[in-house]
Amino acid sequence: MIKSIWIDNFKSLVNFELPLSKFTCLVGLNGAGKSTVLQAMDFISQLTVGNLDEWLKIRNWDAADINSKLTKESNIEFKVVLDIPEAGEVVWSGSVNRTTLRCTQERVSIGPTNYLKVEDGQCYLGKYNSRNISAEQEKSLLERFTIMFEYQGSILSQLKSNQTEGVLYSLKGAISKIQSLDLLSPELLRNQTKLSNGQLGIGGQKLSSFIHESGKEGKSTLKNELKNVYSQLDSIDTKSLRAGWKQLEITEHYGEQKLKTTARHMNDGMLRLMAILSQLESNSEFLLFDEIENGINPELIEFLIDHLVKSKKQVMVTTHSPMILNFLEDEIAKQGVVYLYKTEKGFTKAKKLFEIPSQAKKLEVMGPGEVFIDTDLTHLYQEIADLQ
Amino acid sequence: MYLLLSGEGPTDIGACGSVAEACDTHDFNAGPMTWIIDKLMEAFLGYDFSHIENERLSFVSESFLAKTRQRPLKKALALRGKKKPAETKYYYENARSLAVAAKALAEKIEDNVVAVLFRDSDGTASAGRGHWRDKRDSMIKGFEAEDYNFGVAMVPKPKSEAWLLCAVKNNPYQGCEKLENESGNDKSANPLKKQLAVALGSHPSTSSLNALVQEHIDLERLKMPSFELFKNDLEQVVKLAEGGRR
Repeated sequence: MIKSIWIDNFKSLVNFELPLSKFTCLVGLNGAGKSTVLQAMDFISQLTVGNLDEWLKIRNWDAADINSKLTKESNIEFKVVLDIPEAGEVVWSGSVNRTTLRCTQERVSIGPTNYLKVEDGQCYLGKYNSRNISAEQEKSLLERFTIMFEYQGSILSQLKSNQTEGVLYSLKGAISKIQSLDLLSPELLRNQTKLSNGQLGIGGQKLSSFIHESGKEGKSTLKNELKNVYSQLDSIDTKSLRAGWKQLEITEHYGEQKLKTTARHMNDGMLRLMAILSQLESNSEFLLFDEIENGINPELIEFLIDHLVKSKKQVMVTTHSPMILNFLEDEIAKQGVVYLYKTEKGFTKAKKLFEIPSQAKKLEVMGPGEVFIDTDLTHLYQEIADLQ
Repeated sequence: MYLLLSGEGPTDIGACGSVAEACDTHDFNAGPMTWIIDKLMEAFLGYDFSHIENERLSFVSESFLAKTRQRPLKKALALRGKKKPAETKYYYENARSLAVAAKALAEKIEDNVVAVLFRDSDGTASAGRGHWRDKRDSMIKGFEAEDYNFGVAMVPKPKSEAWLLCAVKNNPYQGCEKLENESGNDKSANPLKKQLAVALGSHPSTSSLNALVQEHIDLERLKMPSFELFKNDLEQVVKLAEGGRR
């Protein structure tokens, strides 16, 4: 599980630290930086995959768009803390050059023990305790090579599988399996596609092939889940069309009448719910959804939230909806609801909402969503400032 | 007639001497706001009878009210809107809990119970959020929601120190309504707490504030809208409780 992410100089995120729980819910005013946080996490994930150019292209961004306009720094720094079972608390930190989009410095460690280090064009691999060792000894002990090739992102994206065993393997797996669906759009969900490669695509454009590839069993599981809220649903099917295009369709019954509907004509809510539920069964380890309530009828919110909270995966959502929050148990809300706000200088900051005294007090007499809607958020930062 | 009070701390309504969340006069250390209530009640009743000294009073803390929170009256989420301003629900729910406790107490002692709920309208934690009148109104709505007629909202604007300061500042009792526009935040530039300490010559203790109310303050001369509204409400409720059925 990822416990926290720190990033510096990524859009409005300057010296920004985000505490993460198994279920995290970001709230805050428009423009506080919720979507930026999702983008930053997707960026960090992409570092372990490499090919940052492609990542920028998908988002229609330039390299110049990613650094903060609020500081003069050039590199983007980051630090991710995660718990890896049987290894412990792993820290991966680095510094990304904005022109080459490469981590010019990088380190993976558990406590005082290093597992990977990149600096001055050299890569050091191997396990050693940096506290009990001189810099010279360190260099001689490790597998070390001069980086003679071009790449983007982290060196983890380039190492062969036999070089990334154990901790590095688990780290790369966990980070690369962060899946951000921050641009999920009903229009794209309706697309026909050929291949998903286990990915839904950032806007959900590969939904039809993703469901197709999940096979008969996957489709049946998804149908059974959805049937809890759409009782008229009989089946979810996918068809292979000419040239490998996949088409998604559902069959429903109204009385005796059977009705087939293709994705093009399905309602937004069902498509979104399908996309979200299918991701909970995917091989991703950490799922990010922006404005989770979009297109979802209030009657379905409890169903959706229960699924997200109970999921085996780590999940982070953003929301503006007090209903979403009100369906969280108090303990989950205390751990997972994070309030994002901007300081007077325009920097985005995060604070667990129910660690703010006035909010904790209110939570004793009302639901988390009611606290949220009852609070004058435009002035909440003053109380947070007084705490510091 | 009996009193049930709830406040925020020792320097306003008072607190139980032990760690208890509810107590009667045996364990209760009354604060200056309780002495104000006591003094006003004597005036409204027209005879000398201290509810504090005659042990006709009980106290419940803020956390007691939180623990006895009432189930929502409607299934739906209470949404903020034109009819429900921001930063009010906490007061509403506290008033409901206090009304329920007061009703139970009235049943037990077979007497009318006047319930007074004290909250600063702008404490340090609220840091300027929400409006005094909305907070007061939401308490009244909370009493109404539980169908309780003997509930009184005691909401100084911005906080209890403003009422006390009115009597001890330079030119006492003059132009006190201006104090209502000061910040209630103890971390502001010139907080009311500090102004009161300066006016009294030292940082006040609960007992010195009590003595101030008992011996010094002339409540007749204290003219501040938030105080007068409270005073008027208390008078109505005392008269109702005195003459009316439970």
